[in-house]
Amino acid sequence: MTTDTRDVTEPDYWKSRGLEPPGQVYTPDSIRALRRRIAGPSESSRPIVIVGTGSHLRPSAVTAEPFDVVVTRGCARVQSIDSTSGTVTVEAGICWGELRHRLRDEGLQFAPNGLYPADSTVGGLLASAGVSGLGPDVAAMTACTASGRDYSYAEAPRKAAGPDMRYLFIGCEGAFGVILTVTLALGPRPDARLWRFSGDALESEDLGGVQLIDRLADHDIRAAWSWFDESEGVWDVAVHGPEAVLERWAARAGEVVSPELDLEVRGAEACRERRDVIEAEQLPAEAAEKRGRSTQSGQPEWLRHIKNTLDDSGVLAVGPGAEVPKPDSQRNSGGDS
Amino acid sequence: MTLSNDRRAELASIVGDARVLTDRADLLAYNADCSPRGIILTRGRRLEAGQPAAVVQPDGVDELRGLVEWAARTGTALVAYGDGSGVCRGAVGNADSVVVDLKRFDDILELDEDRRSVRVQAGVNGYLFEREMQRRGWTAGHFPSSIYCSSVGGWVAARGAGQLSSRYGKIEDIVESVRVVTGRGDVIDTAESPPPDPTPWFVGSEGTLGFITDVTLQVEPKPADRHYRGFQFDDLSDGLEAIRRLMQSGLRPAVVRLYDPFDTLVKKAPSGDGAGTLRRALPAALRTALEARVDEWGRAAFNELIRRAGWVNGAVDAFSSECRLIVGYEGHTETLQTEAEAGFDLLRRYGVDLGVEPGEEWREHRYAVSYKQSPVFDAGAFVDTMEVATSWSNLESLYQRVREALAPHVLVMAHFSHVYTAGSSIYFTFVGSADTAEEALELHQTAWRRGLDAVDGAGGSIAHHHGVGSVKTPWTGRDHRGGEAGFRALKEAFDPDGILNPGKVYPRAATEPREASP
Ligand SMILES: Cc1cc2nc3c(=O)[nH]c(=O)nc-3n(C[C@H](O)[C@H](O)[C@H](O)COP(=O)(O)OP(=O)(O)OC[C@H]3O[C@@H](n4cnc5c(N)ncnc54)[C@H](O)[C@@H]3O)c2cc1C
Repeated sequence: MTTDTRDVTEPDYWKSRGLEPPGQVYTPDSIRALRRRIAGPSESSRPIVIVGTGSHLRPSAVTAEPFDVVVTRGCARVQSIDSTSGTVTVEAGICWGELRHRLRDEGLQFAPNGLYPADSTVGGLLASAGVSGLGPDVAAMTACTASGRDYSYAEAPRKAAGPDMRYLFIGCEGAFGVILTVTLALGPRPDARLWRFSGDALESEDLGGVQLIDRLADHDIRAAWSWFDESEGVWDVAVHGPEAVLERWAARAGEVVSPELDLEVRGAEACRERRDVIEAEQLPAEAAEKRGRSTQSGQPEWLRHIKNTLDDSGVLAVGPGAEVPKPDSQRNSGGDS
Repeated sequence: MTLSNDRRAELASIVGDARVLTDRADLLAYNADCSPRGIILTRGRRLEAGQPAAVVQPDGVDELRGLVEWAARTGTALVAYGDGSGVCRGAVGNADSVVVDLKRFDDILELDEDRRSVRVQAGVNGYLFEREMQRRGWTAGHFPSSIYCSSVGGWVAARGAGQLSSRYGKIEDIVESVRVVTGRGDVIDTAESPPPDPTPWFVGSEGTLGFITDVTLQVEPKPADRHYRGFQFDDLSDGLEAIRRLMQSGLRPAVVRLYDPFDTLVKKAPSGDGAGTLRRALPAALRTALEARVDEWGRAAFNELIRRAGWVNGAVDAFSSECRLIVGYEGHTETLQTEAEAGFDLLRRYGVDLGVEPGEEWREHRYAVSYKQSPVFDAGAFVDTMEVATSWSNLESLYQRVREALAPHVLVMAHFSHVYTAGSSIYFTFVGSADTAEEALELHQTAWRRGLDAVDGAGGSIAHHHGVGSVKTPWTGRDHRGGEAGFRALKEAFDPDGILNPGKVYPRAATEPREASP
């Protein structure tokens, strides 16, 4: 019998996912060493699976066994913070929750839109298929292909310099190479409120699903993230902005949903705490549950061509193309891990 | 290459005889996009450059696949053409290529109000598309200055930005999925494709990976309310600080356009007393030229002024520092007004509120200014634009370095008009003058080389929304260091014969058909 551990160094982690435990597990502790593991000479003939903390690994994306594992968790430094631009540059193995706490310790108030599991690495979140809501927030990135080619995306909030090469790494599950460092634009958080909506109408056609968020948007109210808690029957919506705006928004939101829903307004601290709980507890559990439902499907021909070019010697044992479940509750923004 | 009768007949069997254009007049109509380089060539009677062997106008995916199959068999390059408003020679071929005009892909297929998205064919003209959306109560939120003369497919292929990008995002933020016919003749609907999602590879691919036939875009209810104002700042640093704070406060406006001192001068002579001769004369001279009120004397004076670019640029630096900002909020309800007021209050901490008039004036003419370039060419000069981007902490340095690089050669002014929480684009306008077309081409090339080398040196991105075309190919690899290997992998996957728009985005590979640049 196997137990569902989240520790990738434990054989049970792999067995519970229907895979043979890896031949070797490497945990390089510097970007150079990580790069060398993927693109340098190897003492093993086994192909490699790259994992962060393993929270989003889809067993069906693994194409060859036996394999070795390279864990990025050892590369978890915050390289720099640019408070003027509101960006932070990190090594890809840093966990999302850890990064948020580090920024808070620095007295910074950056917060992105969307919610992400606290125990996932930034590189893993980006590389996972269907989780890359963070992609547009990547202002710069370095990566390396399996065939040893370094890639670096010059820092800019947006650009039009040809096809977006970041997406050979973002959303590709480590099929073509490894994300090394990432500069994230984390957005502002001047002040925040947590709005808790409750009432039977949350199950209705008019206000269930994404309709509530759309209805708020029609009144120029932008949610930073939202979370439907089925067990409590409440819908939490976080909004950011200066105080005067937040007050006006709250009054308007109350009018918009009245009398079908009740609205309770909570402060910035409640908003932060709620986010912490969702990201640390609820999202990781949901990620694990979705993983169980992922199935294999065909790999388009074009994907094989890209793989053959960027990983010509078959260094990486991952081939995207397997089907991932779409976020089923359209309700939770950012909870689509 | 002149198209042989056999080859012409083959094309006619795919798209119909009337849809294969080979008359000289037709070929001339497609020998350039809106790139100033093309205009210099045309005005210099260099009409052969960029002329394709033929133009075809397919209708439907089957015809496109037929063309791809034909091109692979004959080794002919195919150049996708939307509305031809690109400014980097992306849609320009050469005598060995066939231009594929996509205007017959002209249906708005499906507006899904529940999902808030619209599926539209790529050849639909941008203005007609948005007008129809608004008639139905919606907007896609993409309003490039070229909206009258660009296609939806061109927006996506060149990765464009609309004037209201601060509210709606750039086109890559608005696109949900695309349908393409690749160089292998495959039809890929990215909404249905298993992961990874290939959409970001096709957005910005400029016809090098496939023909975009349909695009699915997000839509929002069309705004019912708007608040625009103008502000003035003592200098550029104050203006930049103000708009950075605005964006980072979460008070997201729809429009932010900060003009540097030179651009401010051109837009409007600054108010206040003590305006020196230059401060009065320069804007008047430039505006007169731009507004086509030039007589012979004015023309000579205008060119003389431009040829002393170094001196004029320096004089503007010495005598002028004020910068103007246009900021606008658009939305649906009175909630917007609270947000707009908070935004305006923040800006008042850094500069002078000029009231609603400058904002409304900008709105009224928002599509007009870009079409005022012809008089500059009429006067014997040229004007071009270079749109680059970087993070806030690097923005002023990037601005200064590009300005210093261009200033000895051309008049250079700039505005900051696509603004994000993490950084901004800089839209440089440069004006040069030379005696002959040859000299103008050389000066134009020098300006690009100096400018983009400076961008590279300052760590900025070489293109924010005009794409690469063939004009910027030497620099793409610096924006995506090591990215060419990735691009070649995508080419192998989607265009192994190299028939799709060779020589665009990245320099031509040895295996591709002949380079399609002038
Ligand atoms: C006056 C003026 C103002 C402008 N203002 C703006 C602005 O505000 N914002 C902005 O972003 N741009 C602006 N531009 C640039 C230009 O309008 C944009 O790049 C626009 O998106 C191009 O669309 P188009 O249909 O004209 O494309 P084209 O010029 O026909 O083609 C552009 C590129 O895309 C490729 N292409 C076109 N259609 C397809 C397709 N269906 N499938 C595959 N490839 C295709 C072509 O091969 C070419 O490489 C301006 C240009 C002018 C002349």
